[in-house]
Amino acid sequence: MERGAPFSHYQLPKSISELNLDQHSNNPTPMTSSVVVAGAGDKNNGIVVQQQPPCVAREQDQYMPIANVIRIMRKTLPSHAKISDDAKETIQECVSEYISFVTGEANERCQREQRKTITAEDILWAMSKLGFDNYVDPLTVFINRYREIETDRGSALRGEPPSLRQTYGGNGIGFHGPSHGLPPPGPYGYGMLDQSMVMGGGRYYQNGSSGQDESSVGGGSSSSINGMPAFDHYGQYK
Amino acid sequence: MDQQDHGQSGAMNYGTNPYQTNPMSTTAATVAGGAAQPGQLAFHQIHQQQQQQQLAQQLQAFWENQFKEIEKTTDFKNHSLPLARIKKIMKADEDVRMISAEAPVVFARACEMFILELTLRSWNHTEENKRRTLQKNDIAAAVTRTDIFDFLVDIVPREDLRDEVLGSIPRGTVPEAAAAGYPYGYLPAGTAPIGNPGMVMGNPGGAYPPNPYMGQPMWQQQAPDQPDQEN
Repeated sequence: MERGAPFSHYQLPKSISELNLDQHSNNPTPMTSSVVVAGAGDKNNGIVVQQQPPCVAREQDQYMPIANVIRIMRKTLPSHAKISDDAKETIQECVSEYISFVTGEANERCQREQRKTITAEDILWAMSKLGFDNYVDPLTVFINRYREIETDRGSALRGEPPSLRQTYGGNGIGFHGPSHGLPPPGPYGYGMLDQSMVMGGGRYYQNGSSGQDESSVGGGSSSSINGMPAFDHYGQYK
Repeated sequence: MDQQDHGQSGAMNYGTNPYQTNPMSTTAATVAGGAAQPGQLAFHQIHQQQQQQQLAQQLQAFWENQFKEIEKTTDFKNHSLPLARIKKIMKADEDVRMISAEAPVVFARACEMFILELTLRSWNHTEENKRRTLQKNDIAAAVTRTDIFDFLVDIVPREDLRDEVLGSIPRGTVPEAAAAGYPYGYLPAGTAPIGNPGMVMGNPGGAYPPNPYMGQPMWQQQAPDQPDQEN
Protein backbone atom coordinates (compact mmCIF):
# COMPACT_ATOMS: atom_id res chain seq x y z
CA MET A 1 0.00 0.00 0.00
CA GLU A 2 2.77 2.41 0.81
CA ARG A 3 4.30 1.79 -2.58
CA GLY A 4 0.97 2.34 -4.28
CA ALA A 5 0.55 5.77 -2.72
CA PRO A 6 3.70 7.31 -4.21
CA PHE A 7 2.75 6.19 -7.69
CA SER A 8 -0.71 7.68 -7.46
CA HIS A 9 0.75 10.94 -6.19
CA TYR A 10 3.50 10.89 -8.74
CA GLN A 11 0.93 10.90 -11.51
CA LEU A 12 -0.92 13.93 -10.19
CA PRO A 13 1.93 16.42 -10.50
CA LYS A 14 2.78 15.10 -13.94
CA SER A 15 -0.82 15.50 -14.95
CA ILE A 16 -0.82 19.01 -13.56
CA SER A 17 2.21 19.87 -15.63
CA GLU A 18 0.57 18.58 -18.76
CA LEU A 19 -2.64 20.41 -18.02
CA ASN A 20 -0.71 23.57 -17.32
CA LEU A 21 0.93 23.26 -20.71
CA ASP A 22 -2.39 22.70 -22.41
CA GLN A 23 -4.12 25.43 -20.50
CA HIS A 24 -1.40 27.98 -21.14
CA SER A 25 -0.51 26.98 -24.67
CA ASN A 26 0.24 30.59 -25.51
CA ASN A 27 2.77 30.67 -22.68
CA PRO A 28 4.31 27.20 -22.61
CA THR A 29 6.49 25.97 -19.77
CA PRO A 30 8.78 23.59 -21.68
CA MET A 31 10.91 20.93 -20.06
CA THR A 32 13.93 20.96 -22.36
CA SER A 33 16.39 23.75 -22.94
CA SER A 34 15.80 23.84 -26.69
CA VAL A 35 12.08 24.16 -26.15
CA VAL A 36 12.77 26.80 -23.55
CA VAL A 37 14.39 28.87 -26.25
CA ALA A 38 11.42 28.34 -28.53
CA GLY A 39 9.05 29.26 -25.73
CA ALA A 40 11.05 32.37 -25.01
CA GLY A 41 10.79 33.17 -28.70
CA ASP A 42 7.04 32.93 -28.55
CA LYS A 43 6.96 35.19 -25.53
CA ASN A 44 9.29 37.63 -27.21
CA ASN A 45 7.10 37.75 -30.28
CA GLY A 46 4.09 38.55 -28.14
CA ILE A 47 5.94 40.98 -25.93
CA VAL A 48 7.74 42.93 -28.64
CA VAL A 49 4.43 44.20 -29.91
CA GLN A 50 3.58 45.65 -26.52
CA GLN A 51 6.85 46.55 -24.82
CA GLN A 52 10.41 47.38 -25.80
CA PRO A 53 12.58 46.89 -22.71
CA PRO A 54 15.99 45.28 -23.42
CA CYS A 55 15.66 42.18 -21.21
CA VAL A 56 12.16 41.36 -22.40
CA ALA A 57 12.11 37.62 -21.78
CA ARG A 58 13.55 37.87 -18.30
CA GLU A 59 11.21 40.67 -17.34
CA GLN A 60 8.14 38.79 -18.53
CA ASP A 61 9.11 35.82 -16.39
CA GLN A 62 8.44 38.06 -13.42
CA TYR A 63 4.79 38.54 -14.40
CA MET A 64 1.78 36.33 -14.78
CA PRO A 65 0.91 35.52 -18.41
CA ILE A 66 -1.12 38.44 -19.69
CA ALA A 67 -3.69 36.18 -21.39
CA ASN A 68 -4.51 34.55 -18.07
CA VAL A 69 -4.76 37.92 -16.37
CA ILE A 70 -7.11 39.29 -19.03
CA ARG A 71 -9.30 36.19 -18.87
CA ILE A 72 -9.70 36.62 -15.12
CA MET A 73 -10.37 40.35 -15.44
CA ARG A 74 -13.14 39.74 -17.95
CA LYS A 75 -14.93 37.48 -15.48
CA THR A 76 -15.94 40.51 -13.44
CA LEU A 77 -16.37 43.04 -16.25
CA PRO A 78 -19.46 43.59 -18.40
CA SER A 79 -19.27 42.28 -21.93
CA HIS A 80 -19.03 45.75 -23.44
CA ALA A 81 -16.03 46.69 -21.29
CA LYS A 82 -12.69 47.34 -22.92
CA ILE A 83 -9.30 47.19 -21.24
CA SER A 84 -6.47 49.46 -22.31
CA ASP A 85 -3.06 47.92 -22.87
CA ASP A 86 -1.47 49.93 -20.09
CA ALA A 87 -4.18 48.74 -17.70
CA LYS A 88 -3.43 45.12 -18.61
CA GLU A 89 0.26 45.62 -17.94
CA THR A 90 -0.44 47.46 -14.70
CA ILE A 91 -2.55 44.57 -13.39
CA GLN A 92 0.27 42.19 -14.32
CA GLU A 93 2.69 44.23 -12.25
CA CYS A 94 0.21 44.49 -9.37
CA VAL A 95 -0.17 40.70 -9.21
CA SER A 96 3.58 40.14 -9.02
CA GLU A 97 3.84 42.81 -6.37
CA TYR A 98 1.04 41.11 -4.42
CA ILE A 99 2.83 37.76 -4.51
CA SER A 100 6.11 39.34 -3.39
CA PHE A 101 4.36 41.37 -0.69
CA VAL A 102 2.60 38.39 0.87
CA THR A 103 5.57 36.08 0.39
CA GLY A 104 7.85 38.55 2.17
CA GLU A 105 5.56 38.65 5.18
CA ALA A 106 5.18 34.86 5.24
CA ASN A 107 8.93 34.39 4.98
CA GLU A 108 9.58 36.72 7.91
CA ARG A 109 7.37 34.54 10.06
CA CYS A 110 9.20 31.42 8.90
CA GLN A 111 12.52 32.94 9.84
CA ARG A 112 11.27 34.04 13.24
CA GLU A 113 10.19 30.48 13.91
CA GLN A 114 13.41 29.13 12.41
CA ARG A 115 11.67 27.20 9.67
CA LYS A 116 12.94 26.92 6.11
CA THR A 117 9.81 26.08 4.15
CA ILE A 118 7.00 28.53 3.45
CA THR A 119 3.71 26.67 3.85
CA ALA A 120 0.15 27.35 2.80
CA GLU A 121 -0.60 28.30 6.40
CA ASP A 122 2.16 30.89 6.34
CA ILE A 123 0.64 32.42 3.21
CA LEU A 124 -2.81 32.58 4.79
CA TRP A 125 -1.39 34.03 8.00
CA ALA A 126 0.46 36.71 6.05
CA MET A 127 -2.68 37.67 4.12
CA SER A 128 -4.60 38.08 7.35
CA LYS A 129 -1.84 40.20 8.83
CA LEU A 130 -1.68 42.40 5.75
CA GLY A 131 -5.40 43.11 5.80
CA PHE A 132 -6.63 40.61 3.21
CA ASP A 133 -9.11 39.15 5.66
CA ASN A 134 -11.72 38.47 3.01
CA TYR A 135 -9.33 36.14 1.24
CA VAL A 136 -8.48 33.90 4.19
CA ASP A 137 -11.79 32.10 4.68
CA PRO A 138 -12.42 31.16 1.04
CA LEU A 139 -8.80 30.09 0.67
CA THR A 140 -9.01 27.99 3.82
CA VAL A 141 -11.98 26.14 2.37
CA PHE A 142 -10.11 25.86 -0.91
CA ILE A 143 -6.91 24.39 0.51
CA ASN A 144 -8.84 21.97 2.71
CA ARG A 145 -10.76 20.61 -0.26
CA TYR A 146 -7.52 20.47 -2.24
CA ARG A 147 -5.96 18.35 0.47
CA GLU A 148 -8.95 16.03 0.62
CA ILE A 149 -8.49 15.29 -3.06
CA GLU A 150 -4.72 15.08 -2.86
CA THR A 151 -4.99 12.46 -0.13
CA ASP A 152 -7.83 10.00 -0.62
CA ARG A 153 -7.80 9.07 3.05
CA GLY A 154 -8.38 12.71 3.92
CA SER A 155 -11.88 12.56 2.48
CA ALA A 156 -12.66 9.43 4.43
CA LEU A 157 -11.21 10.60 7.71
CA ARG A 158 -12.81 14.03 8.06
CA GLY A 159 -15.55 16.19 6.65
CA GLU A 160 -15.18 19.76 5.47
CA PRO A 161 -16.49 21.76 8.45
CA PRO A 162 -14.39 19.96 11.08
CA SER A 163 -11.44 20.27 8.74
CA LEU A 164 -11.99 23.99 8.41
CA ARG A 165 -11.99 24.52 12.15
CA GLN A 166 -9.17 22.07 12.61
CA THR A 167 -7.14 24.20 10.24
CA TYR A 168 -7.53 27.23 12.46
CA GLY A 169 -6.56 25.14 15.45
CA GLY A 170 -3.74 23.74 13.38
CA ASN A 171 -2.50 27.24 12.75
CA GLY A 172 -2.38 27.83 16.49
CA ILE A 173 -0.65 24.54 17.13
CA GLY A 174 1.66 25.04 14.20
CA PHE A 175 2.98 28.22 15.74
CA HIS A 176 4.64 26.23 18.51
CA GLY A 177 4.99 22.73 17.13
CA PRO A 178 8.01 23.31 14.89
CA SER A 179 9.92 25.24 17.51
CA HIS A 180 9.48 22.40 20.00
CA GLY A 181 10.32 19.80 17.41
CA LEU A 182 7.54 17.50 18.55
CA PRO A 183 7.14 14.53 16.21
CA PRO A 184 3.57 13.62 15.26
CA PRO A 185 2.15 10.23 16.25
CA GLY A 186 3.02 7.44 13.84
CA PRO A 187 1.57 4.08 14.89
CA TYR A 188 -2.02 4.73 13.71
CA GLY A 189 -3.64 5.34 10.35
CA TYR A 190 -3.14 9.00 11.11
CA GLY A 191 0.55 8.32 10.79
CA MET A 192 -0.05 6.61 7.47
CA LEU A 193 -1.88 9.70 6.26
CA ASP A 194 1.06 11.75 7.40
CA GLN A 195 3.47 9.65 5.43
CA SER A 196 1.25 9.86 2.40
CA MET A 197 1.17 13.63 2.63
CA VAL A 198 4.92 13.84 3.00
CA MET A 199 5.54 11.60 0.02
CA GLY A 200 2.91 13.38 -2.04
CA GLY A 201 4.41 16.74 -1.25
CA GLY A 202 7.90 15.55 -2.04
CA ARG A 203 6.83 14.04 -5.33
CA TYR A 204 5.00 17.14 -6.38
CA TYR A 205 7.89 19.38 -5.51
CA GLN A 206 10.34 17.17 -7.35
CA ASN A 207 8.19 17.10 -10.42
CA GLY A 208 7.80 20.84 -10.29
CA SER A 209 11.55 21.21 -10.18
CA SER A 210 12.12 18.84 -13.07
CA GLY A 211 9.75 20.99 -15.06
CA GLN A 212 12.52 23.57 -15.27
CA ASP A 213 15.74 22.12 -16.64
CA GLU A 214 17.71 25.25 -15.90
CA SER A 215 17.43 24.51 -12.19
CA SER A 216 17.23 20.73 -12.26
CA VAL A 217 20.30 20.23 -10.07
CA GLY A 218 19.22 22.75 -7.47
CA GLY A 219 15.70 21.43 -7.66
CA GLY A 220 16.90 17.91 -7.03
CA SER A 221 18.90 19.05 -4.06
CA SER A 222 15.96 20.96 -2.66
CA SER A 223 13.74 17.97 -3.23
CA SER A 224 15.98 15.67 -1.23
CA ILE A 225 16.11 18.14 1.62
CA ASN A 226 12.42 18.85 1.28
CA GLY A 227 11.48 15.51 2.82
CA MET A 228 11.93 16.89 6.30
CA PRO A 229 10.30 20.30 5.69
CA ALA A 230 7.32 18.59 4.13
CA PHE A 231 7.10 16.54 7.29
CA ASP A 232 7.10 19.71 9.39
CA HIS A 233 4.56 21.22 7.05
CA TYR A 234 2.10 18.44 7.71
CA GLY A 235 2.74 18.66 11.45
CA GLN A 236 1.57 22.26 11.34
CA TYR A 237 -1.63 21.24 9.67
CA LYS A 238 -2.65 19.08 12.63
CA MET B 1 -25.03 43.67 6.75
CA ASP B 2 -21.31 43.31 6.40
CA GLN B 3 -20.97 42.36 10.05
CA GLN B 4 -23.54 39.64 9.66
CA ASP B 5 -21.76 38.27 6.65
CA HIS B 6 -18.44 38.07 8.44
CA GLY B 7 -20.09 36.73 11.55
CA GLN B 8 -21.08 33.73 9.51
CA SER B 9 -17.67 33.39 7.96
CA GLY B 10 -15.55 33.45 11.07
CA ALA B 11 -14.84 35.29 14.28
CA MET B 12 -11.47 36.57 13.14
CA ASN B 13 -12.84 38.73 10.34
CA TYR B 14 -12.62 42.49 10.53
CA GLY B 15 -14.73 45.18 8.96
CA THR B 16 -14.08 45.55 5.25
CA ASN B 17 -12.95 48.77 3.70
CA PRO B 18 -15.76 49.32 1.16
CA TYR B 19 -18.41 49.71 3.83
CA GLN B 20 -16.31 52.02 5.92
CA THR B 21 -15.68 54.11 2.85
CA ASN B 22 -19.32 55.18 2.68
CA PRO B 23 -19.20 57.53 5.71
CA MET B 24 -16.05 59.11 4.33
CA SER B 25 -17.76 59.55 1.00
CA THR B 26 -20.66 61.38 2.61
CA THR B 27 -18.32 63.57 4.60
CA ALA B 28 -16.30 64.42 1.52
CA ALA B 29 -19.42 65.25 -0.43
CA THR B 30 -20.59 67.54 2.35
CA VAL B 31 -17.27 69.36 2.44
CA ALA B 32 -17.14 69.64 -1.33
CA GLY B 33 -20.62 71.15 -1.15
CA GLY B 34 -19.21 74.14 0.63
CA ALA B 35 -16.82 74.81 -2.21
CA ALA B 36 -18.73 73.90 -5.36
CA GLN B 37 -21.89 75.11 -7.01
CA PRO B 38 -24.97 73.58 -5.34
CA GLY B 39 -26.67 72.31 -8.49
CA GLN B 40 -23.56 70.76 -9.95
CA LEU B 41 -22.63 69.26 -6.62
CA ALA B 42 -26.01 67.66 -6.08
CA PHE B 43 -25.67 65.75 -9.32
CA HIS B 44 -22.14 64.60 -8.49
CA GLN B 45 -23.15 63.66 -5.00
CA ILE B 46 -26.09 61.53 -6.08
CA HIS B 47 -24.09 59.82 -8.80
CA GLN B 48 -21.19 59.21 -6.46
CA GLN B 49 -23.37 57.73 -3.75
CA GLN B 50 -25.11 55.45 -6.21
CA GLN B 51 -21.74 54.33 -7.53
CA GLN B 52 -20.44 53.60 -4.04
CA GLN B 53 -23.53 51.64 -3.09
CA GLN B 54 -23.28 49.67 -6.30
CA LEU B 55 -19.64 48.85 -5.57
CA ALA B 56 -20.41 47.75 -2.02
CA GLN B 57 -23.14 45.44 -3.27
CA GLN B 58 -20.92 44.06 -6.01
CA LEU B 59 -18.12 43.33 -3.56
CA GLN B 60 -20.46 41.57 -1.16
CA ALA B 61 -21.84 39.45 -3.98
CA PHE B 62 -18.28 38.82 -5.13
CA TRP B 63 -17.14 37.35 -1.82
CA GLU B 64 -20.28 35.27 -1.41
CA ASN B 65 -19.72 33.96 -4.90
CA GLN B 66 -16.15 33.04 -4.08
CA PHE B 67 -17.30 30.66 -1.36
CA LYS B 68 -19.85 29.09 -3.70
CA GLU B 69 -17.34 28.66 -6.50
CA ILE B 70 -14.78 27.07 -4.21
CA GLU B 71 -17.33 24.68 -2.76
CA LYS B 72 -18.27 23.64 -6.28
CA THR B 73 -14.68 23.22 -7.37
CA THR B 74 -13.88 19.62 -8.21
CA ASP B 75 -10.92 20.09 -10.51
CA PHE B 76 -7.89 21.22 -8.50
CA LYS B 77 -5.43 20.45 -11.26
CA ASN B 78 -6.38 23.29 -13.56
CA HIS B 79 -5.19 26.55 -12.09
CA SER B 80 -5.97 29.94 -13.56
CA LEU B 81 -2.32 30.86 -13.22
CA PRO B 82 0.80 28.76 -13.81
CA LEU B 83 2.28 27.44 -10.57
CA ALA B 84 5.83 27.52 -11.90
CA ARG B 85 5.56 31.24 -12.59
CA ILE B 86 4.17 31.89 -9.13
CA LYS B 87 7.01 29.95 -7.59
CA LYS B 88 9.55 31.88 -9.62
CA ILE B 89 8.12 35.19 -8.42
CA MET B 90 8.15 33.96 -4.83
CA LYS B 91 11.78 32.92 -5.24
CA ALA B 92 12.74 36.33 -6.63
CA ASP B 93 13.20 37.25 -2.98
CA GLU B 94 16.62 35.83 -2.13
CA ASP B 95 15.62 35.35 1.51
CA VAL B 96 12.99 32.82 0.47
CA ARG B 97 14.50 29.36 0.75
CA MET B 98 12.00 26.57 0.32
CA ILE B 99 8.37 26.60 -0.70
CA SER B 100 5.88 23.85 0.07
CA ALA B 101 3.94 22.40 -2.83
CA GLU B 102 0.68 23.87 -1.57
CA ALA B 103 1.87 27.47 -1.33
CA PRO B 104 1.73 28.19 -5.09
CA VAL B 105 -1.65 26.43 -5.21
CA VAL B 106 -3.04 28.81 -2.61
CA PHE B 107 -1.47 31.76 -4.41
CA ALA B 108 -3.02 30.75 -7.72
CA ARG B 109 -6.46 31.09 -6.21
CA ALA B 110 -5.55 34.14 -4.13
CA CYS B 111 -4.19 35.98 -7.16
CA GLU B 112 -7.36 35.25 -9.07
CA MET B 113 -9.35 36.82 -6.23
CA PHE B 114 -6.92 39.73 -6.14
CA ILE B 115 -7.26 40.39 -9.87
CA LEU B 116 -11.04 40.18 -9.65
CA GLU B 117 -11.28 42.57 -6.70
CA LEU B 118 -8.85 45.09 -8.17
CA THR B 119 -10.61 44.95 -11.54
CA LEU B 120 -14.03 45.36 -9.94
CA ARG B 121 -12.91 48.41 -7.97
CA SER B 122 -11.15 49.87 -10.99
CA TRP B 123 -14.17 49.40 -13.22
CA ASN B 124 -16.24 51.26 -10.63
CA HIS B 125 -14.10 54.31 -11.33
CA THR B 126 -14.43 53.78 -15.08
CA GLU B 127 -18.21 53.90 -14.75
CA GLU B 128 -18.03 56.98 -12.54
CA ASN B 129 -16.43 58.77 -15.46
CA LYS B 130 -18.93 57.31 -17.91
CA ARG B 131 -16.27 55.48 -19.89
CA ARG B 132 -16.24 51.93 -21.20
CA THR B 133 -12.48 51.41 -21.34
CA LEU B 134 -10.67 50.43 -18.17
CA GLN B 135 -7.58 52.63 -17.97
CA LYS B 136 -4.49 52.85 -15.84
CA ASN B 137 -5.85 55.80 -13.88
CA ASP B 138 -8.87 53.69 -12.92
CA ILE B 139 -6.48 51.25 -11.29
CA ALA B 140 -4.72 54.16 -9.63
CA ALA B 141 -8.05 55.34 -8.24
CA ALA B 142 -8.86 51.88 -6.89
CA VAL B 143 -5.44 51.72 -5.24
CA THR B 144 -5.81 55.09 -3.54
CA ARG B 145 -9.29 54.26 -2.30
CA THR B 146 -8.45 50.86 -0.80
CA ASP B 147 -6.19 50.56 2.24
CA ILE B 148 -5.11 46.99 1.61
CA PHE B 149 -3.78 48.10 -1.78
CA ASP B 150 -1.36 50.62 -0.27
CA PHE B 151 1.55 48.39 -1.21
CA LEU B 152 0.74 49.08 -4.86
CA VAL B 153 1.29 52.84 -4.78
CA ASP B 154 4.75 52.40 -6.29
CA ILE B 155 3.31 50.39 -9.17
CA VAL B 156 0.96 53.13 -10.29
CA PRO B 157 2.76 56.14 -11.76
CA ARG B 158 2.32 59.44 -9.96
CA GLU B 159 1.01 61.03 -13.11
CA ASP B 160 -2.02 58.79 -12.98
CA LEU B 161 -2.41 59.47 -9.28
CA ARG B 162 -2.14 63.18 -9.86
CA ASP B 163 -4.79 63.00 -12.55
CA GLU B 164 -7.01 61.14 -10.12
CA VAL B 165 -6.50 63.68 -7.36
CA LEU B 166 -6.89 66.77 -9.52
CA GLY B 167 -9.58 65.24 -11.65
CA SER B 168 -11.70 64.46 -8.63
CA ILE B 169 -11.79 68.11 -7.62
CA PRO B 170 -14.47 70.09 -9.48
CA ARG B 171 -12.95 72.66 -11.81
CA GLY B 172 -12.90 76.16 -10.45
CA THR B 173 -12.71 74.96 -6.88
CA VAL B 174 -8.95 75.24 -6.54
CA PRO B 175 -7.54 76.88 -9.67
CA GLU B 176 -4.69 78.29 -7.61
CA ALA B 177 -3.50 74.80 -6.71
CA ALA B 178 -3.17 73.75 -10.33
CA ALA B 179 -1.65 77.05 -11.41
CA ALA B 180 0.78 77.27 -8.52
CA GLY B 181 2.05 73.77 -9.13
CA TYR B 182 1.85 72.70 -5.52
CA PRO B 183 3.95 69.65 -4.59
CA TYR B 184 2.35 66.29 -5.26
CA GLY B 185 -0.19 65.35 -2.66
CA TYR B 186 -0.28 68.81 -1.15
CA LEU B 187 -3.69 70.36 -0.66
CA PRO B 188 -3.98 74.15 -0.40
CA ALA B 189 -5.19 75.70 2.83
CA GLY B 190 -8.54 76.40 1.21
CA THR B 191 -9.21 72.67 1.09
CA ALA B 192 -8.87 71.61 4.69
CA PRO B 193 -7.84 68.00 5.26
CA ILE B 194 -10.43 65.93 7.03
CA GLY B 195 -9.90 63.23 9.58
CA ASN B 196 -11.08 59.86 8.34
CA PRO B 197 -12.16 57.75 11.31
CA GLY B 198 -14.18 55.57 9.00
CA MET B 199 -11.05 54.62 7.10
CA VAL B 200 -9.37 53.03 10.10
CA MET B 201 -8.64 49.39 9.45
CA GLY B 202 -10.05 47.05 12.07
CA ASN B 203 -6.87 45.10 12.64
CA PRO B 204 -6.04 45.46 16.34
CA GLY B 205 -4.45 42.05 16.62
CA GLY B 206 -1.43 42.68 14.42
CA ALA B 207 0.68 45.73 13.75
CA TYR B 208 0.05 47.08 10.30
CA PRO B 209 3.24 46.78 8.29
CA PRO B 210 5.14 50.05 7.96
CA ASN B 211 4.37 51.72 4.66
CA PRO B 212 7.69 52.24 2.87
CA TYR B 213 6.17 55.04 0.88
CA MET B 214 5.49 57.04 4.04
CA GLY B 215 2.48 58.35 2.23
CA GLN B 216 -0.33 57.19 4.48
CA PRO B 217 -1.13 60.67 5.85
CA MET B 218 -1.24 62.07 2.33
CA TRP B 219 -3.67 59.38 1.25
CA GLN B 220 -5.92 60.18 4.15
CA GLN B 221 -5.78 63.85 3.25
CA GLN B 222 -6.59 63.14 -0.35
CA ALA B 223 -9.30 60.62 0.39
CA PRO B 224 -12.09 63.19 0.90
CA ASP B 225 -11.63 64.46 -2.64
CA GLN B 226 -11.79 61.09 -4.34
CA PRO B 227 -15.58 60.74 -4.51
CA ASP B 228 -16.01 63.89 -6.59
CA GLN B 229 -16.67 63.21 -10.21
CA GLU B 230 -14.20 64.26 -12.86
CA ASN B 231 -15.23 67.19 -15.04
